Amino acid sequence: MAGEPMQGDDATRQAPRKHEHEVEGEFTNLPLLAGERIWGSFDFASVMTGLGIATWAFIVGGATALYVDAKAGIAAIVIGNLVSCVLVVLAACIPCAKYGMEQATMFRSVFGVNGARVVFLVAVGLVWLGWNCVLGLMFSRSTANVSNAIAGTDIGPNSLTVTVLGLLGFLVAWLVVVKGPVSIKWFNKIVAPGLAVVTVLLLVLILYQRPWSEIAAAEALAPIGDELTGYMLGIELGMATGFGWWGVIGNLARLAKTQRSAFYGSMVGLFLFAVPAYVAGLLSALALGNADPTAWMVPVAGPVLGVLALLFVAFANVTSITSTVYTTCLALRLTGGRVFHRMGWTTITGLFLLGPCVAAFFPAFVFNSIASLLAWSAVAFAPLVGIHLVDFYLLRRRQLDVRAIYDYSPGSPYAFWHGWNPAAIIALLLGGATYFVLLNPSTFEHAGTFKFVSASMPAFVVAGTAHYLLTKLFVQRVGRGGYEFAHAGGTEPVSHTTPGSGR
Amino acid sequence: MTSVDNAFDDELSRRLDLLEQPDYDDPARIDLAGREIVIFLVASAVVMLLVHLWGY
Repeated sequence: MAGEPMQGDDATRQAPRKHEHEVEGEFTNLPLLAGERIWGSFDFASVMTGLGIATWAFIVGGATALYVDAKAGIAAIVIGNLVSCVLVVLAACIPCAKYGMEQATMFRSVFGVNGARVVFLVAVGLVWLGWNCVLGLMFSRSTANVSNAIAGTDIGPNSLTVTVLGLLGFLVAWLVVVKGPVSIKWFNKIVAPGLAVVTVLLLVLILYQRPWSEIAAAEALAPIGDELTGYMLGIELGMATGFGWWGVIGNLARLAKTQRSAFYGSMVGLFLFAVPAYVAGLLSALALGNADPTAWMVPVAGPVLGVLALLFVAFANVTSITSTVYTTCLALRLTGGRVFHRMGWTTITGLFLLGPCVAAFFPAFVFNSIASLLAWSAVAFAPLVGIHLVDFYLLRRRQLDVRAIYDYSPGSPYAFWHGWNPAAIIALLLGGATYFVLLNPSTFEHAGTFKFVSASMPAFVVAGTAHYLLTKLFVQRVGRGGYEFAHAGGTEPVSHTTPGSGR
Repeated sequence: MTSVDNAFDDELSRRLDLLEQPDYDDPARIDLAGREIVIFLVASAVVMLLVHLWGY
């Protein structure tokens, strides 16, 4: 009977099945139970590898080659990605893994119900809608290059054939996503190990084509300012990439069996296996004149090995689409209001992919928007990571009241002020402003101090510090935000009202 | 409220009751040790320093 406590696996098996996918944890923002966490360490690392490695990695690596040479570029890629990935994984993955909660839902504890909704709708929904447009384009251009290499076709990068191939890629991804995390797991388990091998193969092939001494001597393609500025721009690109994961990895981590598998699986996928892909893009841009390996793979590796590798690279984009669509649509169910909350999983994922399908008809526009998308996403995500880290680890000591997070009443601990936490909002604005002062994300014009401190790290620090101080000095003092739950050891639920359905 | 809303609320209530059971066991609730996080951060800092000295 509803509301009666049940025990262990019996409880999971006896969950009501009247509404397909509307009451299953993995398709909604319901908190997951232990038995529903289906990704062990290898599974999770596979999913994160499939997410992290896509053609965008080669493009970002190629963009790094504009500002720095090979050695400095490798250092910049490693530093930028390592520092941002560690911070974003601690901020987004660990809380979601611990409580099995959907990330936008859990984020109510930081921004309030309405604040979390706006943040995820704008910062996550729009940004990842954009990145899925890019992924579709990368898949279609990669498969077009395969066809050109082995069948002698002459498919241009902006042709109608590229559009059709992009639509095909979205269809494949959608067919995987509608089946949920189990199919995502198996799809990535098959593709991810191949991706890791192909990435190493790319590096070997590049070094086979050009000796390391020649690559190391190659200058940056379009150096800007002095050497230190170029180096910091390379690091900034890496950090923008790492911080950009914030909006999507939490909803994947909630399926991990332990926090340890979530943390290390993320670092393996998003850093250890992804960095070689960035480096491959960097080196191929410097050595071969093109960051996109699909353009030179077959002539270099031969028809059989080259085509196999190309197909893996092409499908790397599809694995990324499956994970990002899954996690974004979960958040959309919460942030999109009653309409999306009641919508079937098949419908909501299909609707979300409509946007990228339309964008597939404008490939040149999508390609030219990549740099802006990357730069502008860092403006919001670096401060958000700072705020999230400070809130969960310092202010709440890693304790959340799960029942209270689903409590929409005005008296809920996480209600703040009518569903808004002004401390977090002000901190976000301050962090974003800090970023702009240091670096213009459109033009890359920068302040003098940028080359010493970057833009993302000061934005991260300013936002986190502002959130901490404003919470301590104002929010906590007036008893808002449920921070006393953490100080009570996290054992006494503060909320006693009946939680309501997601809206 | 629709039947979907009711079904969702019922399921949410069931899950929250389960999660609050004293004997509810979920390995994911075991926090990463602070010491482990610090060690990883220190190791990361060392890697960044070494790669910086090599590359720049």
